[in-house]
Amino acid sequence: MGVKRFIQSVLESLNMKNFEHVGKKKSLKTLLQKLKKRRVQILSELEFETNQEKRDLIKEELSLITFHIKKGKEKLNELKNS
Amino acid sequence: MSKNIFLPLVLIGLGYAFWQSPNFKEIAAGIAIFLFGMLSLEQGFKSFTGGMLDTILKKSTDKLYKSIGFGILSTSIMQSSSLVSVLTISFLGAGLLGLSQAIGIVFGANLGTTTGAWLVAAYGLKVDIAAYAMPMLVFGIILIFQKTTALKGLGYILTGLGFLFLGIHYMKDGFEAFKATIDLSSYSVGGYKGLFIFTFIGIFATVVMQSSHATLVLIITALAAGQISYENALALAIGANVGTTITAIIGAMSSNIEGKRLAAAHLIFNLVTGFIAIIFIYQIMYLVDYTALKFGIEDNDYTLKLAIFHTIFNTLGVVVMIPFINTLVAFLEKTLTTKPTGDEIDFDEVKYLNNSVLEFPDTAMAAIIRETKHLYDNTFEIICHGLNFKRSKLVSAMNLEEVIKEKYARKYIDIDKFYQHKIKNIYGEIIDFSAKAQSNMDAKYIEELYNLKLANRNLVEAVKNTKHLQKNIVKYSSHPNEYIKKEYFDIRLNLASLLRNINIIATTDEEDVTLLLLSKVRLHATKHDIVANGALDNLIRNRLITNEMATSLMNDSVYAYNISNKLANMAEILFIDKHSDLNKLHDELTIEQNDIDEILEKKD
Repeated sequence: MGVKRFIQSVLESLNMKNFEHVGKKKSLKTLLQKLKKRRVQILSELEFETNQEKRDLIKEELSLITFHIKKGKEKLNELKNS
Repeated sequence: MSKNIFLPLVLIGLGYAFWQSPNFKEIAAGIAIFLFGMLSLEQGFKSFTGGMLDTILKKSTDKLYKSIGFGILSTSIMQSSSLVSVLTISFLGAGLLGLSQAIGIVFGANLGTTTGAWLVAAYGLKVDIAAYAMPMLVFGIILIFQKTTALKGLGYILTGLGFLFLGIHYMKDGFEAFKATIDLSSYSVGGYKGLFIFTFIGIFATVVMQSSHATLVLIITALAAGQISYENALALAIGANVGTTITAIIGAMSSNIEGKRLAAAHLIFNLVTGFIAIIFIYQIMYLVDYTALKFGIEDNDYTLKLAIFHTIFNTLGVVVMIPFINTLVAFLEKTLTTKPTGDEIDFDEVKYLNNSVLEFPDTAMAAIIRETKHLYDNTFEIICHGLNFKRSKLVSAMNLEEVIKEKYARKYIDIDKFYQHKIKNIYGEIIDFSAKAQSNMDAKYIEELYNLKLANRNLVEAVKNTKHLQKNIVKYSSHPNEYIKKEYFDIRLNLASLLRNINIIATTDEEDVTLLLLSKVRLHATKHDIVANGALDNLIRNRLITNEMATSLMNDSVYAYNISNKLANMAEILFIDKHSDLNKLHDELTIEQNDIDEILEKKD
């Protein structure tokens, strides 16, 4: 039995065939959690900022983080359904 | 001239000696076979361990006792302190180890080498080891012809051991037969005079053979045949210990300053140990007799007593030197430094690339990553100073407008000169090293290596774009036209913001921060592109700047855009840890140009 086939059969017998997929889902969930926390932090910064120029910069950060959270959620759903 | 004559003279001399004495021929053949066996053994361990060795090394050398333990164990297994020392120099050169950790390994290697003496003294001379050598050679050669790297490595190890055993057998037979014709022991010299003479012979023999192990086996076989006296054998063993440092010194010649420091530490350690052994020789001999008695070793079993002596004096050396490791490191760092060039800007050289790690893909890759980070540091410095920012202020929390107002120097620096001194050579060396390393790498490394080469190119191009940009920054930063002055102030401000973000990406461990800042850098590159955002059209239409100024501004806007993108591309490769969650997901989460356009449109 070749090394690749041996690894394949071990993964199958331990029900780990999908482990790369599972690992990606876990990584994505962790990253999404961090992004959501950061979003809350940015929102509170925006609340207390009075300088218009700085407010614009914070809003820009907010739109970027919202974009990443949205994209991350889409990817997570994709992984859940596959 | 002398070099050209030396080799033929040695060969003729040896030929004459072989003709005169068949026994000497047998001993010399034994040494040659033994050394060939060591080469084969080294080859085997190199191909057998591959990337595994550096993984183990990283985990097992974080504390001094672990470093020493690692040195003992690896040398006992590989039976070559020279190989362990040379490998340690390579890892040190690649920045995977600190100097004190490396010194710990070398100390351990010295202790580990004593196991060789024990094996030969206790086993090699009492059993007909040539009988084991033959099957080992046959099995080894069969395995060498296999395709699998591990089997091939095992083949080299078996063949190496086979040749070692065969070499010992020939040396033993040669000395036995020698005894009947010449009695070398009649040349023995007693007292301290003999001690010094034979120590120097030991040093010379080891320098010639480049293996203390081979010298030690030669000493033990000669001692067993009664061709040298016990006292002279002890002196030869001390000499072999000092002479073995030559391999590390040769290995360090192609290494960086850290490697040279380690070779010096090795030499100092072995000289001190040898010195202690010579001064306290009679006390150590008494201790050997006492230990031999305790272990039931016969009083006339000089070969085993030599092994005990070897262990005691090496242990003594380690015990004496351990408290001075930090002093030794400080001394070497102070005395062995890189030579200043005397130029206004020092020529910077590669810090982590060392040809001896080329055979280890993981270590070679780690060295390239570290060297690329070194190139990044230089690039960052050149761009900062080229745009006349103070680096320390830029990476602080200081307001960016204040940062760019506070000039680094009255005159703008010559970027071209800095490029020649701090970028060109390092970049060339990285590319050359990568090409060499690639030939020993599997497909899984090739993509990573290709990306690293891209990161290096991005850094070089960022510097070149800064050079082009600098010309007009100098020209328009103090121009009477307020509009053009303001545009160039903004270009500098945006680049300062970019550099600050890149620096945060380089230093943070927070993956969400890295992701957010990489997107921000890309967004800003588009947002501040004066051609795309219509600001240039506005300035021309309202005749606020001349045509010449508009052309300059358009070109420089492209240079600034390029700097942003090149640095962002580089940061994506260099600063996202390959084991992180972000690395697995980066392709899915990365921001595309259409996403940027969408965000900017919403904002408007």
